[in-house]
Amino acid sequence: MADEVMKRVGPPVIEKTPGSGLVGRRTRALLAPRVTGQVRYTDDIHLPRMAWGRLLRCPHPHARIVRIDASRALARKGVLAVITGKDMPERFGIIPWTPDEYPLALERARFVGDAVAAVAATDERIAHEAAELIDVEYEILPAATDLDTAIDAPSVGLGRSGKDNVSKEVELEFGDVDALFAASDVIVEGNYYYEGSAHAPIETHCAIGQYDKNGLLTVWSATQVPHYLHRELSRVLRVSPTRIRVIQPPVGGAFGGKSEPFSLEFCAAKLAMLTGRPVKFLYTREEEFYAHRGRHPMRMAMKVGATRDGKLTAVDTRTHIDGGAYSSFGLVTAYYSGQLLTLPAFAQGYRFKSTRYFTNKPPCGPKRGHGSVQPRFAFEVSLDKIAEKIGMDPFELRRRNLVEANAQTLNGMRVTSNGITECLDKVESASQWKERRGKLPVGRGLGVAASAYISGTNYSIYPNAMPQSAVQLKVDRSGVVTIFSGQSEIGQGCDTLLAVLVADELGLDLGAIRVISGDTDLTPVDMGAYSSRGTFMNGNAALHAAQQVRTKMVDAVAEKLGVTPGEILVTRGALCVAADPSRSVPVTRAIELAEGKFGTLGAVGYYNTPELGGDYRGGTIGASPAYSFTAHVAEVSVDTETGRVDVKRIWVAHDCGKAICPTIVEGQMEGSAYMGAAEAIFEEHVIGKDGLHLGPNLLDYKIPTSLDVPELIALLVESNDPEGPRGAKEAGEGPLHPSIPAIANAIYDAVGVRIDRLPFSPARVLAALRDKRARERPGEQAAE
Amino acid sequence: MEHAIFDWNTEIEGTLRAATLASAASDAGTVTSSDHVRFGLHATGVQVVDETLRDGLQNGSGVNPPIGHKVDLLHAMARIGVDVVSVGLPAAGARYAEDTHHLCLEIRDARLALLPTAAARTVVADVQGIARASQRAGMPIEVYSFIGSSPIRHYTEGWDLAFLVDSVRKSTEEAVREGLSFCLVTEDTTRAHPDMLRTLFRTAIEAGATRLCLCDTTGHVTPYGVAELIAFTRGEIQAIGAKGIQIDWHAHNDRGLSIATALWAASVGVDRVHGTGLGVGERVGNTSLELLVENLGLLGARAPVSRERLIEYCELAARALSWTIPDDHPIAGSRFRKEHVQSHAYRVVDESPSAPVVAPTAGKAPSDRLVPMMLRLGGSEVELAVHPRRTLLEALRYDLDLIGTKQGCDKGDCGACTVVLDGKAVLACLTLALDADGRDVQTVETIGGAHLDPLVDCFDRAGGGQCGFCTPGMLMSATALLDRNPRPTRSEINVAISGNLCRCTGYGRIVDAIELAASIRRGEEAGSIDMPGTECAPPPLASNTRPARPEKS
Repeated sequence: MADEVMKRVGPPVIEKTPGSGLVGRRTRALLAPRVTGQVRYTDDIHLPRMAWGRLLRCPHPHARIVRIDASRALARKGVLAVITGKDMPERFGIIPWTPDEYPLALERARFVGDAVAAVAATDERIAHEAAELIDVEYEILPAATDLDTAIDAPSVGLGRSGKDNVSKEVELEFGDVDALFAASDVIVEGNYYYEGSAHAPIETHCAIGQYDKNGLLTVWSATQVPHYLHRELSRVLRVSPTRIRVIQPPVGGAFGGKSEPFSLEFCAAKLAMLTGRPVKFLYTREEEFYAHRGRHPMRMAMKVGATRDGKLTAVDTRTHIDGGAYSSFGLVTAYYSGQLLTLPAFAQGYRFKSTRYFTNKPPCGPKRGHGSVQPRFAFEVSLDKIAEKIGMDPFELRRRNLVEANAQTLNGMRVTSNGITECLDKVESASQWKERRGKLPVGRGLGVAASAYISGTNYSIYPNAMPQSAVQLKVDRSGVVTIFSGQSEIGQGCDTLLAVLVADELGLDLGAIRVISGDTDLTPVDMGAYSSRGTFMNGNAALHAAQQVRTKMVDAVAEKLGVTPGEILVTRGALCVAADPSRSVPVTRAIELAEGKFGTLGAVGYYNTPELGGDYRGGTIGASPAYSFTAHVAEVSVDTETGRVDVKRIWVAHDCGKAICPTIVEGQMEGSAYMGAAEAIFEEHVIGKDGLHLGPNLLDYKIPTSLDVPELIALLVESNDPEGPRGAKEAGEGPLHPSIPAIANAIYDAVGVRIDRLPFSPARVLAALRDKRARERPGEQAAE
Repeated sequence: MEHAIFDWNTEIEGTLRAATLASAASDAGTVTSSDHVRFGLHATGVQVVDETLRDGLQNGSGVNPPIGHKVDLLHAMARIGVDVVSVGLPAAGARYAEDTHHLCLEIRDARLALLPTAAARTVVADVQGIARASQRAGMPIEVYSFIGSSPIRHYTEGWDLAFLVDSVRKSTEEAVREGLSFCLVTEDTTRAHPDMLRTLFRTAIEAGATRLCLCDTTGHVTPYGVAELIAFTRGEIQAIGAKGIQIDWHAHNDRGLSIATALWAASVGVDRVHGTGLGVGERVGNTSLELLVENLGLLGARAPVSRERLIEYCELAARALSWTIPDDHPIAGSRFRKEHVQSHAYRVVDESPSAPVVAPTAGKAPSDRLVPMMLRLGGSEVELAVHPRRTLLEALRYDLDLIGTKQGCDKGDCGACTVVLDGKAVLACLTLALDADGRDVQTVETIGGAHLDPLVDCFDRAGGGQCGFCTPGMLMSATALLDRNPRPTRSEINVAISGNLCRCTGYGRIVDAIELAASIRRGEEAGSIDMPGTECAPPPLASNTRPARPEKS
């Protein structure tokens, strides 16, 4: 039988790397269930007798809730129940030290859109109508709907003490900054502002609660963190975690916007418990903008010094962060705004002070490139300014200040693999930088920027000694291997990544792998999809599990063929004797042999980071087992008549360690670069004085269409990280960072104006051009 | 000539009106009083005469439709309950005579419940033409004989009273001789002097006519004038002392009043009212027959006719007359067809006294009722019932569980709900389900049938999807594109998907996927490569592979 199989498959292909040769191959994305519309996202789940929930949201930026009267709503035919803050008077929050949200505001509503009551009704329309029938009496309180008011009017009292509006303050200094500045030949200072942006996934938040007659609560949610949701549901609802199951169906885009618990999950669960019927909440697109957790508005005063020969001396930044109404990940945000700047090219001294303020606005949180995209913009533009001042090519300036591989950063972060040099080389040559820069017609320009980002973090949100990531394998005699993974597939491709790693390790084809992920009853605990931790941590856990199964298969085959295990090579479809490939056993037979020898096959794999981080308070925040590196060159064309910036092309080189699935890695690189470009040119999450979003819909909040995107050229760089799974590092967030500064620097190259406030809208570009003309030819100002 | 016309709308002979209306209503003179105009008092049983194939052909297009179209329309007339049909003016020429003959045979052979009439000028030869047609078809044909009756007409034609009286008498006598019923059609009656009418009516009736057709040939009369004229005519018939003389009403629409005057005439007791399909006829046309039938049905004067049949009638009339049904036609206009379907329940309950009044279900507004509808989904017909306000997106997702079509914004901004409706990519969240009634809908579930559509396959191969939430909408926009343009350029693809927002990919790989799919569809590249395979499939059983033992010969 084995011979017949071999006849059809052909002799095994011996490769240098053992395994089925799937790692690094351009296989299909195996998205088929998703792209055929066959998988069920949360909103695609309809349960018998399912009721619809709807939140009533506060219309004032800051108000005390005096009284809530739900009698009119309850009298409405079809209304099943109404709950208020008093039904769940328990604070929650993703960071265990800063829980400050209630599922429904208890005494104070802190932004327009804060949930104050929830209704369940027999259908969606009735639920929406009934929510409007809940009468809430508010006492309007003074509000801070912008950063300046939050700073200048501490009496608003949004902070924990009630005496100021401060959410978190971080101040760190490395090296003798003042002395280094004194020794600098050139110092550039700038004030930079980022207004904030939204994730805008195409799938809005959705959750379903179901409470069965045995007292088991099941919550389906479009979340990136089923494990944290499990914990918080238990705490807030005061239900034993053994009676809760959280299922995370496929998620239709998240980008960080679904990485903490939200009101709807608690309310769906609570209303299901009260009514005995499943209850679904689906945020409208407008609610999605108010639930927010998008990128923080940041005001950054940055000072960077350098010597004449292009050696960066010191960096000093003062950052004010507009956090919105709640803490969310804010503690981390405040650190990340400084800690993640010290790679890939940096100075010898660094001082940063970041203060996150509460404002009466939709809460901000982590968006792809959490906390570090804004300072990266300020820093990379500063480098461009320095390069111009000292007359040095911006590439050269960066090259002279790179942190090496296997080194430590100024703030004590351990760097292992580092492919930044190759990244810079690749974008430089692909964009023909040397040949074209400075020789383009007026209105055309090139700009460069570089960055680094974490591949997971050892900061596990709640301190514990348990694994951060785990995978279980079930091996069937048919040759099917099922991977149970706690990681959350949100479109980033982590399920495919695991399938490739495990299949490759066991000599299987992708068709033999099933991945079941994101279900607290079925899968081992994993922290979730954030901090770019999937590939590194989850991948290592999967490898750990697969290697255990592989060892058993190799042992059993070695025994069968009468050789030592060391002589066996795993190839695609068969295990053979390395020296004599004609002696082989098909992989399915190898599984049977191993099962016969060792009993039912299966394995548990897990991963934990080594001890990492600087020896100071906050020194673990930003510490990662590996860092990814990125360089961009952007080419823009600026219309000096209209101020319109057209990003023509972005070359993106990214060191992902090893591209396990190159198609997916490139997809992440392009998607990141495109999202960054959109933040540079279009996107602006503006909340007015009255606390209202200026355009909470996809017509007014402009995310790019197919006609607005630059040509994206993804260039893979593989530095083969010693600790990454098969050498791999992250690719989902890092490649976003250089987009904004590369475009900003390209605009300067094109028309000679610096715009230090995002986004680079036509009005701002025109104003900058007008200022420039006035400066250059003051006499003509009157004529305008 | 004293007056070019006599105006029945204003020149009232009070004595006439008082005397004759007394028999029709309780109190004369109050034409507008609700007692008098109460419909059904005299209208019940009024017959409908379809003049499409005679007067309708006088329309500006000059088209004489092929006989097949006429026959189809004839059947549609029978289906909407037309009683009497004009089969033409056989004396107009050989072709017309043939068509008349053919239509008569169709009525006879298909046993259509239609009474044929034919038009004639008031000359003996024309009457004889109808007589021949009647004999040839072996069935009676009623003669509708035309003669101008207004002063202006007489002045133009140079006719005098003696000539008119002579013509009427001879024609009538000829019809009677041939055994055919004779109707005197006094053209332009609404502008004819009562004295002239009195003379013509008397002449015809005394010679054997059984029917008088009053014509508002120029669309001149008001409802008030209609009442006056009919009262006068009825008075004249009474004065002559004839029994069983019936009255027809034939009107044009120059003042937009034809449907109103026809209903008015029916209300005050004429026996037959005339109309043409879609109101097509000379100048601005005639009374619209389908509206007449619909209104008489709603008013309880005749059995109600289903809207589907009326629409069919309109479509066949439009075809026969080379006419276009206007968008805002109250029955068959494209704008209103759907609205009527949606408000169907409402209409039956509130407007038609003839239909049993259904008490609305407790607490439910009429719009909460489910309306049956049908979708052609990937070639198979799917029946469902929806609320009129249900969107196509809700119907697909909630009623049919076709959850591949996604909701991203529910307001037409994101494109995630794109489906292909009759070959065109549309947003299901902005399309009412009932708008798709009976139409062809393709969703991500239907493309490719039982197989993986190359387009879907290419999204997987090229990395055109990440989270997958926008992908079904993308696929449908791309399907519509490739169906109309098998070789799109990249920029054409970008335009085609510009209504579909994707937050993951940056679009480049989506365009790659669509380009690749297009070339596979054109047969230029191989599809379905590198699919998870059959590498580990067990070999066939030995008994299956061994050749069958040869039978002994």
